Amino acid sequence: MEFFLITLLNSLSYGLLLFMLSSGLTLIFSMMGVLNFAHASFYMLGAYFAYQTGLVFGFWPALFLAPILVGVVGAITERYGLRKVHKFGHVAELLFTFGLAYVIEEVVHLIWGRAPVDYRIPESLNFTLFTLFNTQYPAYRAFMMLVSVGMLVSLYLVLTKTRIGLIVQASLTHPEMVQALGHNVPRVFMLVFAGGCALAGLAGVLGGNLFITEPGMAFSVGSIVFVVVVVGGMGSLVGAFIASLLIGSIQTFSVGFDYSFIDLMAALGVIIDSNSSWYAGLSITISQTAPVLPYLLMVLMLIVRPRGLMGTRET
Amino acid sequence: MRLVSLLCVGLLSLQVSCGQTNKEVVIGFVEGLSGPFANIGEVALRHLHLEVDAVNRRGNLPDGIRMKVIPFDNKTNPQEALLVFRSALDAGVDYVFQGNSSSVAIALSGAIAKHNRRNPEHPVLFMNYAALDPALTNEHCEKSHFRFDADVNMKMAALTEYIAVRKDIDSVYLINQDYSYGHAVSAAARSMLEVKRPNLRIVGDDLHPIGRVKDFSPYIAKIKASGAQAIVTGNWGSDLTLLIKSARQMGVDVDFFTFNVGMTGGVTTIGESGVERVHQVTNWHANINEATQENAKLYRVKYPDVFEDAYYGSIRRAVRMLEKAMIESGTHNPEVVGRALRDMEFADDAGLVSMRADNHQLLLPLFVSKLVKIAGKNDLVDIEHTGLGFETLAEIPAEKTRMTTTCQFE
Repeated sequence: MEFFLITLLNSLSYGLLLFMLSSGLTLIFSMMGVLNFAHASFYMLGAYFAYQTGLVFGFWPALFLAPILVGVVGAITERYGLRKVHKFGHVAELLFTFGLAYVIEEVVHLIWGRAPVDYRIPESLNFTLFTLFNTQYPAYRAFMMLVSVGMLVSLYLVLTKTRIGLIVQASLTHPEMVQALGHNVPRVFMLVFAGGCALAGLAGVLGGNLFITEPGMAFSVGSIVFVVVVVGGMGSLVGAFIASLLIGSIQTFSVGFDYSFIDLMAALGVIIDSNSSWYAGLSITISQTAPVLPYLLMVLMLIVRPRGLMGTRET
Repeated sequence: MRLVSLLCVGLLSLQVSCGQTNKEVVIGFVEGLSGPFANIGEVALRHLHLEVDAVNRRGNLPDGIRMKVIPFDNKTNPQEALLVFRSALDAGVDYVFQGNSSSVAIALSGAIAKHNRRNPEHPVLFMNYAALDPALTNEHCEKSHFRFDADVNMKMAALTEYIAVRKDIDSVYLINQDYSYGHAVSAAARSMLEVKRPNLRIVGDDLHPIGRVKDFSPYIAKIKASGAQAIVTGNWGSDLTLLIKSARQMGVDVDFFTFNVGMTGGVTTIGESGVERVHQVTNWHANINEATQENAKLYRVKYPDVFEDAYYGSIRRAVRMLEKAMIESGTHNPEVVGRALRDMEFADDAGLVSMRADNHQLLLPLFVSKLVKIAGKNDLVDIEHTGLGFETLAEIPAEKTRMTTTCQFE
């Protein structure tokens, strides 16, 4: 019971972090049709900016400053990079963001070096929130969940209740009409791109000190974000939410299960012992395959339902 | 035209030196300097620089030659390591130092042996300071490979000796990295504990991908659920630091039995909650005797601003034995030096060590130590300015660490 509850809480906090990352990606995709390969790099930039500004100002100002800085970088990328490439088609935009990911990683190497930086959880949050049975639950994870949920709620409110949100929603489906009505649609695009990058940056601020802040973090998290977006469906925020919680749970829970195919067969009464030539392959436990499971899910989803869980737009 | 091109080819080929015509012997530090293990690669490089500078200051090498260190980033990846070894050869490397990741070590060892067979006029020696997979001195042994740290079986034998006397522990959890080294640690722990403490229950045996897991909380939750009283792990680098971090955050109070907790960041991460609970088996730590404390302080003097404290006794041993071998054989030719290294005895700060001639494994005393508070214990050196340091619990003399070997040099 204890294991189940603790793992549930852990998978919730990890899933919400994934959602913060993938919501930006899916927003950008649904708006502009471009899959931003550099999205995880903005996540990394958020962590590094938070580390750097945190050295000067402390964690709490950095929590607000770093995503804004990342948003500015995103806006510049869109205005001077993506917009110019846009007229050459989707493939060109994809390649541009792909190259951008490498450039950002090398810039990080140049400025902060190749080794991990000491970006720590602030002392004010470094305590135990509560003790479930015998395991302590760190307050920082609860804070992460709080910020994720708060950010989601405010995103939802902005998109549905404010004027700019309505314009963004309209531009999602009818950009020409919105332009004809006199709104500056390219500026809206830039705003959405910057907003998506700022979301990734916020995820970086929170995730960077829980997981290590190092130049390889973009690469390690980037693939999972794509799995989330594919499984949830391109262009659907709700789909991304469900998928990130699902992937978070799969990754966290699967570590706890030491059952293999052999155990399944044993439960059915079929004993496969170590003399069998298939033993090595069949004795692989779920916990050993835990890192692979999200990708397996993605492959299955692409075979069975390429649209994703709630996809509205074909790739 | 032909003459010009011939001249160009001739000039170019002169650039490929094997270090013997120059006044320096080239040490190639082929290690992971980027990626998840970049920080410990940097630490090892600092240790190497410290020792090589000391050798050059002493100036006792034959013909007045000096040692020179050139770092090469292998990204802790066997394929990259082989690529980078080629560029190291172009730079005229004579001795390759590597240790982080046994999979890289095995690949490099094979490549160096192959190079030596095909290019006997440019021999290269492999000085392994930390890759502990027993295979390197058994089925994959090579004449050009020398290991300066105890292998997994030697260390696990020492550790399990200590665990066996801890009657308060009756369940342990094994967690290791999923590659040859981690498998070796897990297998050794199982087989040795079975013999020394048959009533000890091994309640879990996890293998996780190396360098990829950033969040160990699912594993810690599992360990908690299993009710284990101790964790035995061969993890190193960020894999160990993050494991300890998760355990601390989730308030899981178990004893840790590790190979490497004194390495970068481990002590700072576990902090005071690890006092009396965290153990390691190593070939060196700062508080073995006065000589080791001196060496620890020397490291701090040379690098006052870095985060970590001295750790790699094996690097100092390797460089000093190399120096002694060069002086004894009167040359820096790796082949001759290699012959001098076999069967060499050396008085290291922690004790007397000797290189086995049958498999090129160093026989050295091993120390099981635990984390303690420094305050009130006169003259103990602390780690990473935490006020905590290691205290020896048990010393295993060098000769008792000898293991049987299947190595056969051709």
